[in-house]
Amino acid sequence: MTDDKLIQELKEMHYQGKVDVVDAVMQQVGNKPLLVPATHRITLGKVSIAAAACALIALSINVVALFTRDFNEVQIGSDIAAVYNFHAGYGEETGSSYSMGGVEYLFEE
Amino acid sequence: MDEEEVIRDILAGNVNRFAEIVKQYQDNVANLCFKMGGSSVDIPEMSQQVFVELYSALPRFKFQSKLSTFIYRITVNVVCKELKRHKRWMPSSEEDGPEVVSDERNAEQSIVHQEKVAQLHKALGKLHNEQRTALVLYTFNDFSYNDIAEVMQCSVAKVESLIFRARKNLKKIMVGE
Repeated sequence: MTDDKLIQELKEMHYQGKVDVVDAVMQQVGNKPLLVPATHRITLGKVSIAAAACALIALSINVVALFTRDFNEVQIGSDIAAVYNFHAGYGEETGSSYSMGGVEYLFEE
Repeated sequence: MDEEEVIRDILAGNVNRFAEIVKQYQDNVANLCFKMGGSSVDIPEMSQQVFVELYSALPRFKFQSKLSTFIYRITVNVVCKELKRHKRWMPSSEEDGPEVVSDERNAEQSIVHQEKVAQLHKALGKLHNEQRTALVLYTFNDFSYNDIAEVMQCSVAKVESLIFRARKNLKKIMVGE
């Protein structure tokens, strides 16, 4: 068999059966979610990443603020207590309040 | 059928128009599956799988090539995946051999011709996967080397080399049988 004849024979090969897959295919793709264009998928992805990053940053800030506030409050409280005790120790009048960090602290017996 | 208009309509949400693409290409897809996969693959099931994958891949179609090239690329990938699963290529037997369209030959000649074609199909299965793919595409729908390169995602030079080697090896196998 010559080369060209081989190619000709190959060209003449056809599938014998009849294929009709329209209904089967439409049944399958009909259940799939609507196609999302590629650009929207990318945008959604970027938004998700950005949202996650913001949440992480916000969480970190809150955690830091939480510790800082507690520390500050403890520190302030300790400072005020030290002031009160200092004056009280010398028999001095301590006053009814003390201002620190823009906050008025009231002394109570 | 204006393919670009149909695809844009489908991507806009009119899924029913996908049926038009399936109707247009299902025979060619089945033929290609048959030529590439022999009896190792269930042709209707393969064809169905090709179109389902095409549906998912439509957002990636950039209209820079023909839709037919895109479809046949998916077909080649689907069949190759299936052949890898089977790990062997089973040609059709002489009983369910491929139909040869030839009305002018008489009955005896027709039978001889059918046997030769079944042998040819068997020999195709002995080729290396890439060589068989290139050769089948070369003999399918008058594909150019550029078309084949686009489907196989390789260079034209590689396609030429694959077809040259495929023809040589196929002839060797046929002569050997």
